[in-house]
Amino acid sequence: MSAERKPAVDGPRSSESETRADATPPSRSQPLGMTPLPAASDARTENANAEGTAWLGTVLGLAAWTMFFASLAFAVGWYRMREPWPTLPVSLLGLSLTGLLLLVGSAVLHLGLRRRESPWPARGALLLGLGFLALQAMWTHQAWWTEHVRIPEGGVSASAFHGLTALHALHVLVVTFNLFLVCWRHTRGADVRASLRRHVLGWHFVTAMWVLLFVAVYLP
Amino acid sequence: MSLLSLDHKAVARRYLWSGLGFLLLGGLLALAIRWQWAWPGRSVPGLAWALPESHGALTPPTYTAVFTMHGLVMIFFAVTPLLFGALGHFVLPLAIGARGLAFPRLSALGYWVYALGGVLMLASFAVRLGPASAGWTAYPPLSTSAFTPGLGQTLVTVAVLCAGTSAFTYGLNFVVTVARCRAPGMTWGRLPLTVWGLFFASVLNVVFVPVLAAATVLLLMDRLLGTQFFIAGAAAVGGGGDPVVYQHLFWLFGHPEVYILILPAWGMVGDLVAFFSRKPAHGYRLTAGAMGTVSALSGLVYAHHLFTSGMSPLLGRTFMVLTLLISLPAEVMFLNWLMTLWRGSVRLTSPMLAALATMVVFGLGGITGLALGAVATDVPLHGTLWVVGHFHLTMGAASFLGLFAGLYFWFPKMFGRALHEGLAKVHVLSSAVLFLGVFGGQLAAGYAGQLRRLYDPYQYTYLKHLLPLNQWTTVCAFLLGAAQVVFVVNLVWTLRRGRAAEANPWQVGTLEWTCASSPPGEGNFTQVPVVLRGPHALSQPEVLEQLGRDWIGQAEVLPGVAREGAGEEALATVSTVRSVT
Amino acid sequence: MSTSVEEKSQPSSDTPTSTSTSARTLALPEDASVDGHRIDALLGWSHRFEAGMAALALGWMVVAVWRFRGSKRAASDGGTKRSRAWVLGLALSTFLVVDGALLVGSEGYLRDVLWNLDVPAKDPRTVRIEINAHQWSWEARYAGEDGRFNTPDDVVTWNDLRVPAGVPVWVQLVSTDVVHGFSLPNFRVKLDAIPGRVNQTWFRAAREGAWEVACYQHCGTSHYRMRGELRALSAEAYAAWLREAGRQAVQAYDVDDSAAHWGWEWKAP
Repeated sequence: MSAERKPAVDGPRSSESETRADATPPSRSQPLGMTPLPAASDARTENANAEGTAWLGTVLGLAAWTMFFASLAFAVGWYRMREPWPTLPVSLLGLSLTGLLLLVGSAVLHLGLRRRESPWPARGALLLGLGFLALQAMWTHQAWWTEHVRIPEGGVSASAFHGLTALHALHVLVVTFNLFLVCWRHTRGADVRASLRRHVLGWHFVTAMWVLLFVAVYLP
Repeated sequence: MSLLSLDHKAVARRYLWSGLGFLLLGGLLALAIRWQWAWPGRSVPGLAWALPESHGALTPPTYTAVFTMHGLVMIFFAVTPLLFGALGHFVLPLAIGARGLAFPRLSALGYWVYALGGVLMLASFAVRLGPASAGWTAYPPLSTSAFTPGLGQTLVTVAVLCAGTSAFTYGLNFVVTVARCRAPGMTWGRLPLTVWGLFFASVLNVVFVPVLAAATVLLLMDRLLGTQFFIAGAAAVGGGGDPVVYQHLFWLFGHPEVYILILPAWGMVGDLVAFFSRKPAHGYRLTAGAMGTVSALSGLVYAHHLFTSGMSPLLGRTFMVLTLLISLPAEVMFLNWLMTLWRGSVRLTSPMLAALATMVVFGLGGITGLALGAVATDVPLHGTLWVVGHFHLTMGAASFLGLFAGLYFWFPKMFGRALHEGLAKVHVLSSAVLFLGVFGGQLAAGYAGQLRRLYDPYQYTYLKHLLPLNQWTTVCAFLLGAAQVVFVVNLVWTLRRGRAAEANPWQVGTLEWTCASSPPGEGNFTQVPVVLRGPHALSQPEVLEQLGRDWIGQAEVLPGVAREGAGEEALATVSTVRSVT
Repeated sequence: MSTSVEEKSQPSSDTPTSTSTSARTLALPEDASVDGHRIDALLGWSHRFEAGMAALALGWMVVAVWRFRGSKRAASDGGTKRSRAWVLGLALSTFLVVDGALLVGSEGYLRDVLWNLDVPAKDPRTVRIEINAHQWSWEARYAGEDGRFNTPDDVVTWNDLRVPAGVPVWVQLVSTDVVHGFSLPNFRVKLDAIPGRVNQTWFRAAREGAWEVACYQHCGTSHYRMRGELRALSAEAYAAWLREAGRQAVQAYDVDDSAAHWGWEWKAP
């Protein structure tokens, strides 16, 4: 990190440029007003602190990112107010069962966090996530090829169905991948409890956003 | 090497150099626009290499690209990165007594995302059909591929998304840092106003950048995948979407964005005015509260940008009332600044001059915005250069001068060298006066009806008589550009052979000046300071009496005054802080 | 550089052009509408207030810097309860006076004019015009003598609006391609033309004359050329023009030219 400090004095000093002789090199100058009190610190609280900070960051970040989906829902809501929204040719039951996978994953992960050591809840959720993605892919595939809900012919409702499903699936993909990384690190013996706690938040987030998606786009 | 360093000061320096580079680019683009309005269709001096076919003259398509890129470069790649990326990254942890940002890797990543966006912006100039040209607002359907084909518009849209992502990351980082990493004793009531400004602006970043991301992603899908979100009713393209949705989403982000650009500057002005009046800021809580109120209201006023879009009267009236309401906290804040000057001992240093200049241009910018907040008076002024002058005074000139106030103030801390004070003053004063000339001229032209974004305004008979005015304005703009040379000279000279900065050149008590070296080392402080008082403890009688100076460090124990008492109080704070966590 | 275009599009008749009267730089464009003076007056008032505010703030700042520059002693407090109350009071009273005046004045104009479509709807003399904005021109449609749109006698003009003076003109506005902005600077009229929706507004010309139609939303490369002309005629001249143009339109009507039949059933307010 020493490269960070490029203080004026370290280099070969050109003597003629100086107006005031440096009694103390700037990088070392002890400021006048400093008589700090000793501050206690120990490693464990520091660690807990860092964990708490990361957790807060995750919570706030996800909460703020809700605005992304809220904006998408706002847009779709606007279209739905303008004109009647066509019923999706895809089975609503199938779509809700797909979403159920995320909900189940949320429950599994939530309960799994209480039972400390077992890696299985996270692995189970991993499967559920992949299953969700596969099923969503299947529904969109069916809508596109069998039911001819296409872009751009299908207008704004088809755009919303395919576009928002894809955007949400992208988020699920990221969350699932993160979960995979956590599982992987766990198998290599790392302590992942704190990071698992954070990634579970991500899972809850995509689950909640799926509900929003369902209400905004899928419901007739 | 420093390029890989995660230290907040290294990241700040990266943002500083990139931001200044883009500021130069944005400024040159602005000069090209101004040239066009003064001498339409004539060759821009020095541009022949870029536009050989027209011998350096702007053609209508180049012109549209130039003003579009000017706006985007300035907002997303110059002013925001300089205020947050450079000053925010550097000052915020130091000022609250933190050893770094809460998430150092996130902040470094944020810079690289921003840099990627910057590269895409620059690359867009080189592709066929040129860069984006649908205006910085990129209203669809114009910004869809049906009307603006070419890779440039897409690249730039992605670049904006990158800049937004980076803004989201540092916004989140700042919020969490302020919430979690303050030094013991650094209560919310002892934060410098700069930190308050950065904090509120970061909250706005975090909340509203996702809205921009949504609008931009939908637009990108319309461009690339053929979705129909914003394509409507047009014979040429069909579609069942609605371009107005984009306008709402865009301005729901866009209006808070203008506060994002000015809040850090407000905070700095609040601090600097107190520092250089050598007295505590008047109504510290009121000022911080006013900034918070403005931030809270900022997302609720956006639709005044859409007064002429045919919204329902109910919405129009609501947004008119909300918009006018936001001027109240701004007035409280401004009056507090003025009251801080009163009965002080004013020192006209270069940061103070810049802060005062910020007040002047911001004051005029705010006042000229009032008429735009009411529907009836907005009608004649909407879409004219009046609007352009108004928002350039606030988020252009005021942010710029606020930025330089901060840069002149913290430069010795950043680089350990002192800038030449005389050159700095010349730069600030000439910039301020010329800003008033440029944007005052635009206000006048706009009042007389000159519409924005016209390649040749004099196509219109009713604007013909504005040519001389525009020429004068352009002269001011070029002089303004020339004035920046003073800064560059000062910067280069100081970095190469400037004198070493004193430890506390401005004689203020905030943590970065009193507890850290210049420049601060890794971890910022040898010991994390324990804060005992607010940021503006200036001219306190007991300090004058005992220390013989008019300032005292935020973490400095006043000798004699019950060392135990003060210490215990601080330690008690420490223990409560720890027990909370 | 555009003189030839200008000269071609200047009205050939002896109607006055706007240049002759509104060549002052620091003034709004000449007001040629019946109701626009209310906006102008409101703006005038608001400018007086704003100038007052600016003078107060700037003067205060200059005096403070002048008087307290380098003074020996500085106050040690961050304001007293009283001084803070003064700040709040001053801010609140300025806000109430300045913003209040703007709000009340604006509201009056909105209620009586801008959003009061009852005036054109109830006036039997009202002229209705459908305008279709294109990249880069204004296509205007008059109902013709039968009073209905999208019929053979519709009069369609390009960049050429004609209205009778003193009579409400009710405009409904669409766009074919991108967002345009329909503005009549001399009539204090501005309205977005947005694909997929019909916007409407109305105005009254105070006197006969020729003025300009301008586009105020960036709509592509030739945005700056999207200029139209508006001529306010006497009632008789207008009626004569409409009759003659309608007669020609019927003759030129082509059933198969579907692109020309973009008109719509007049929308209720």
